[in-house]
Amino acid sequence: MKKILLKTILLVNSAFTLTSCIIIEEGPRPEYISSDKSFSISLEKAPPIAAQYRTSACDLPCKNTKENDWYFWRDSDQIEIRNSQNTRSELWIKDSQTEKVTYFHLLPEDLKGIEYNPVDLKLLGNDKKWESLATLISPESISTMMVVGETKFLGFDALIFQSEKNQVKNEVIWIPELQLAAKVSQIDGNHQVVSELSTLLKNNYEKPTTSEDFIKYQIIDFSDVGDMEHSLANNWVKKAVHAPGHEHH
Amino acid sequence: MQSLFIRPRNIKVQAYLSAFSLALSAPIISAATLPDHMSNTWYSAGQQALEEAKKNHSNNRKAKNVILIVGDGMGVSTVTAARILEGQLNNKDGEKNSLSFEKFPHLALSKTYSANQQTSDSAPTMTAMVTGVKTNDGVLSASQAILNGETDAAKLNTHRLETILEMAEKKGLKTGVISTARITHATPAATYAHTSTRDWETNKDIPANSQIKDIASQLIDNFGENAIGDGIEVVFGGGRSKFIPITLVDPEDSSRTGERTDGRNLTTEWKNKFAGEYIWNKAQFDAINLNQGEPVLGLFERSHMEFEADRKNDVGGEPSLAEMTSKAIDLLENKKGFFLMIEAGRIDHGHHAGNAYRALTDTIELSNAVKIAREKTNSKDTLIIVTADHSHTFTIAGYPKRGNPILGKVIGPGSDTPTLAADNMPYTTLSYANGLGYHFLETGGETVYAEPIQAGRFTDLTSIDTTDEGFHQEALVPLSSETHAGEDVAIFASGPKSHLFQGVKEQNYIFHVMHDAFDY
Repeated sequence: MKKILLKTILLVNSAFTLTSCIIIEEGPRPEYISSDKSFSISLEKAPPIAAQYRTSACDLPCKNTKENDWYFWRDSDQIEIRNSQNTRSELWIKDSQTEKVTYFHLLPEDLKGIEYNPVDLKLLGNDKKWESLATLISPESISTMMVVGETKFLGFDALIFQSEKNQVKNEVIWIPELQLAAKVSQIDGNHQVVSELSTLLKNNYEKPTTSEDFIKYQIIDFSDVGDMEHSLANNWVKKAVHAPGHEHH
Repeated sequence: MQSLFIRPRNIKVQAYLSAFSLALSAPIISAATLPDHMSNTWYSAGQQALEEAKKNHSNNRKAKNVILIVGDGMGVSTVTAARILEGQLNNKDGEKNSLSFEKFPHLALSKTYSANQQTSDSAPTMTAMVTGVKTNDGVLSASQAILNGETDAAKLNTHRLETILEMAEKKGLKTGVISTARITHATPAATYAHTSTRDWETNKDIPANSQIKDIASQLIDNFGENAIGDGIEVVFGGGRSKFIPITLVDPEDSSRTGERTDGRNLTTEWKNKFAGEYIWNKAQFDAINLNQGEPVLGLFERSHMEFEADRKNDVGGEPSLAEMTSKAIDLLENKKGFFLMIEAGRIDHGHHAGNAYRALTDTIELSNAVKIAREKTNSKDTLIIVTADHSHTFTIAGYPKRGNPILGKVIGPGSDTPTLAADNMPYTTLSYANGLGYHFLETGGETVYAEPIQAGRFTDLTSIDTTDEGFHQEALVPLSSETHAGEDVAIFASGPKSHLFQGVKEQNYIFHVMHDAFDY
């Protein structure tokens, strides 16, 4: 349980490096009320999402909080997570016919990217992975949590899930209408990591990577990283393989 | 001490045998003179090997066919570990097992440094093997006057090196190139393309200020009318996206397209220029009509073909390296002869990912391919060379007992529990000097790159099944990808002029033996 949820949180956090140390004040906590509503994930009902999240991490009691903002876009066959600096992006594309998922680690400033072999992702179980990516929480982990109440989150009805095992406390706030985890938090010992939906993007200022954008990228195969990172012409590869999610977990 | 007493008696036996030539069989002699059953077995096996070695004669004939088989990254430790793994997978004595090419009669060591690298990449090493000349990192079949990244096409052309495949084409022989990597990847590309930069595989990769042709287009443009020979007859591998335009949806993956931005569809050009056939899946591969004898371009993946361990999961279906080898020889066989290059390209990728399982199972598949190649050709007229372009930082360490699983933890002789290191934790027989280090993923392979670097003694392996295909071996120096290594690699050879492989040779010597065998 701890491992599954931790993986989910890592997934949420994986697209960005926590580069700044900023002290933040805790916002008002949502008001919890008890709930008897059942829970299910249905991506068929999931609307497209364009959102901004904030991930915060600190040692309790929180004094020096590291935080990072990131964008999340979801469509029926494309999911993208990009850091707010627009320097790193994680892009998953699903083949609607074969359900194959291809994953790209993109460096938008360099117009470079690494393609992950679809078979590797398939072997990892891409059906579950796609659901996890699309909802920002794995169905397996949330199914083992208890619904402890209801709340409002950015005006949406939301369910609150909690669990505690081996002194690890987890909480998820789930918005059924959006089929989306609005908040995922974990307290492990004295360390807390919280990823929380900040806003749903209503303007077109920040857009996901389009097919027109994508063809401008130089994409290399994941298998070629080992042959390329020593090359001066491919210094960007070294930058990419030290991508967010690699350093701070 | 025991061996000190036994050895003089063995020498006497050898002298005795020598005097009476081959009249007496080795097992009878050893059984009569040695003290225990195990010594008998070792001794008689040694005698048998000696007699077999005495039967080897130099074959100085001209080679009708030459087959060069390259295990990318297949260093000596990889060969040893794969040999043991193959035996153990077949419930046989792993240590005594031999891969097919280890039974070849002639062997040399190859010095793999390049013109400017102590430890090389695949571009200059393959250039050395197919042109006879060492060159710089990243450079394909051009001399060391060319540096990686050179954009001047005229300068490149001045320093272009003719390859053994091109020579064979000029002489009217049939030719073939097979790889489980992209057919535009460094090793296969060096046989037919000339460029300063191995990564310029499709036109999109070429800098705007350069007129140098991308590697994929050279497979078409360098051959046929107004160029060399009549075209390569057999091309099997991956790398489809480098050949088809960005406007064309991939036949195996509808969410993806080709990569070419110059509007060329090289698969169509291949068919038109060489009156050939283009295929992309296993069913089409199986349906190739050998009687028609038309050239075949088979591109079975957008990028690299699958690891052998994962091939069963491929959407479109792929032939194995052994199947491609068998089909290629059927297609190439003719009176004048052929040159065929076969690469097991993903041994290297398994090692880079620190996943010995995939590196070794791909090595075993290379052995299967060699076995078929030897069976389908005549050793009197076909020179087969099996070698590697470079090694990896892959080691076989500790003092595991005989029969210990090669992918397992070290368990010493007389023990049933793992040997503990000074940190009181077990360790595996196989490990890497550098790389990402220990990982255990459900599916393994290259997904390891998505994980943090965990070099050194990261975790207690006591409860970990290190023989699982998802296990990634421990590594000492933390790097984001395991690297090549600079020690010599082996050259195994059979057939005409194979006896010229002896001692420690420069890697470019391989070309000179092939050239001599063809009598060019």
